[in-house]
Amino acid sequence: MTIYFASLSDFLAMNGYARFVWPAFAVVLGILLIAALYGRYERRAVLADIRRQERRRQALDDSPQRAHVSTDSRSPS
Amino acid sequence: MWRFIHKWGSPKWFYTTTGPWLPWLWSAALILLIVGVVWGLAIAPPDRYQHDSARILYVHVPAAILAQSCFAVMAVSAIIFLVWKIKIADIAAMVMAPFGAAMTFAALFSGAVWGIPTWGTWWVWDARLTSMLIQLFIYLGVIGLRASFTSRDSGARAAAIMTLVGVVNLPIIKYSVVWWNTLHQPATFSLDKAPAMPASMWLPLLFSVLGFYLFFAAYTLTRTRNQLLKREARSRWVKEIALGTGKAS
Amino acid sequence: MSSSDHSRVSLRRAFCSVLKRELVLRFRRRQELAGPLLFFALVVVLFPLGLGPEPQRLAELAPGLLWVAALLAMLLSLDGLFRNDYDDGTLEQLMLSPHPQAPLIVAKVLAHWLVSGFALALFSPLFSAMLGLPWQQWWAVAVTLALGSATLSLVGSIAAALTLGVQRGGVLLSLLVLPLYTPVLIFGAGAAQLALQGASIAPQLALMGAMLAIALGLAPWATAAALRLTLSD
Repeated sequence: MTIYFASLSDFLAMNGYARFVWPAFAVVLGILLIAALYGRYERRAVLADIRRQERRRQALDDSPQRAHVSTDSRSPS
Repeated sequence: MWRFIHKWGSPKWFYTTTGPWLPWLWSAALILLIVGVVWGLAIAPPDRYQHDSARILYVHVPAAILAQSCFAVMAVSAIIFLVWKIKIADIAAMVMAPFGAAMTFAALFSGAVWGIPTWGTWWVWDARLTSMLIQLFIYLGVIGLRASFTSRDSGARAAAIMTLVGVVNLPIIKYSVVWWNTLHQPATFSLDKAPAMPASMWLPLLFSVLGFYLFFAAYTLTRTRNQLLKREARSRWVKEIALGTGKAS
Repeated sequence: MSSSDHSRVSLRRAFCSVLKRELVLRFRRRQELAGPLLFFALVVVLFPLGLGPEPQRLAELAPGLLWVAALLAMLLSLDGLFRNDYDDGTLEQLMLSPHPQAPLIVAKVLAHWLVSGFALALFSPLFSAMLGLPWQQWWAVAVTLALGSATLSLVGSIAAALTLGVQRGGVLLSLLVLPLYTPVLIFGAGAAQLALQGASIAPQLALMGAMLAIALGLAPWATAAALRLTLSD
């Protein structure tokens, strides 16, 4: 259980296979990173959306002509 | 059994129960991924013939395994959705589809890059590669079919049917190696015989594969919960979560 | 065939009448009937123009070319499988019938296959000859086309039913169908190619028969589910 490479530059060079190994790892792990970050972003966006809708609904409730305005802002299903 | 299914079908129960799992899932996935990748990149010995290019194995194989597993899990979700009408299963299938497509692409890309030093070409019309490409198209078909319906429920059912039809393709992918038996190596892991590579190579691979699986679980759960909130946006418990008001009622 | 209490017409008669109605309707609309064949002929003509007229080279490629052309012709004809019945409401009546839906769908698909895949197989010797295939090989192309196109019709019916309610579903239909068609293409064209080299194609035919059996067992139910979904939309 020892590090196979003698030095960091050896590690980066991958004995001449660097231009194959690193792009492959970068793309696959990059896809994972994007997926993880998207999950985070999506949660914030969904919660912000719900808050915005709730504020608008409350604003409409408070306004006098609310009977004429539909509070349904969801897309039709 | 029935009560168990219905409990899991309840959005609020699902959301509150799975919440505490998320940090564990994400950290376990991260740790396993780091162990697998670092071990594979720096500690594992290089292959005798392919030298250090063989290190691509530690991301290529997990991506390829996930690309197929993801479709199988989508098919199970599709059955659960079609039979028991549990919406959470449909949400899970919906968020899994782009991930599966991305993993299929990742497997194709890393395989192509690996092919340059190993086979001397980045693409061959080998059974495995071709069936992987076909699988990518099936993923895109399922995603496109769902998107093209204006009614969410119709799109969900159409995607579920298409997923089940597409799952017929999975055994073809698996046995295609036996059928044509060309340049590509046979499957890395098999149930009935010990792996041909030394432990110093398959052990990091095992970590990496498990890391990918846990990542898949964490990603799916996170996004399923997000989409659940979105669909249940009008119910009280969702508003309470969004507005940060008390946990009661 | 057993006739249950709630239906006075036996399943066999229902099957036959659906098949007969389909065939009568298809033979009345002559332009549509000729569609797949005409498309097949046009694509086959394109290949020598694109690849050059040397008979030797064309004959080598002919089984694959004929198969790809037939596949595309089948794909093109798929949308017509349910479209007219969907537009005029007949499909709804079919789904409301007291009989199990799968056999009735098989009747419709059988009619579709007879006028598309089977017709292509019947006319394929003509095109085999045009592409310079020796006459001993014509039957291999025809047999594999006839057998394989039945699977194509069945599998295609699922995707046709799924995209029925979708606006501008043409590209989507291709995206759904063509990946599922690849095994049939591989074995069909592969068998025709093998016959060209004088080898036995019995194993390939057996595998294609197995695929047809699987498709016959599963596809009608998937199509029925897809049609129910489209009609409830």
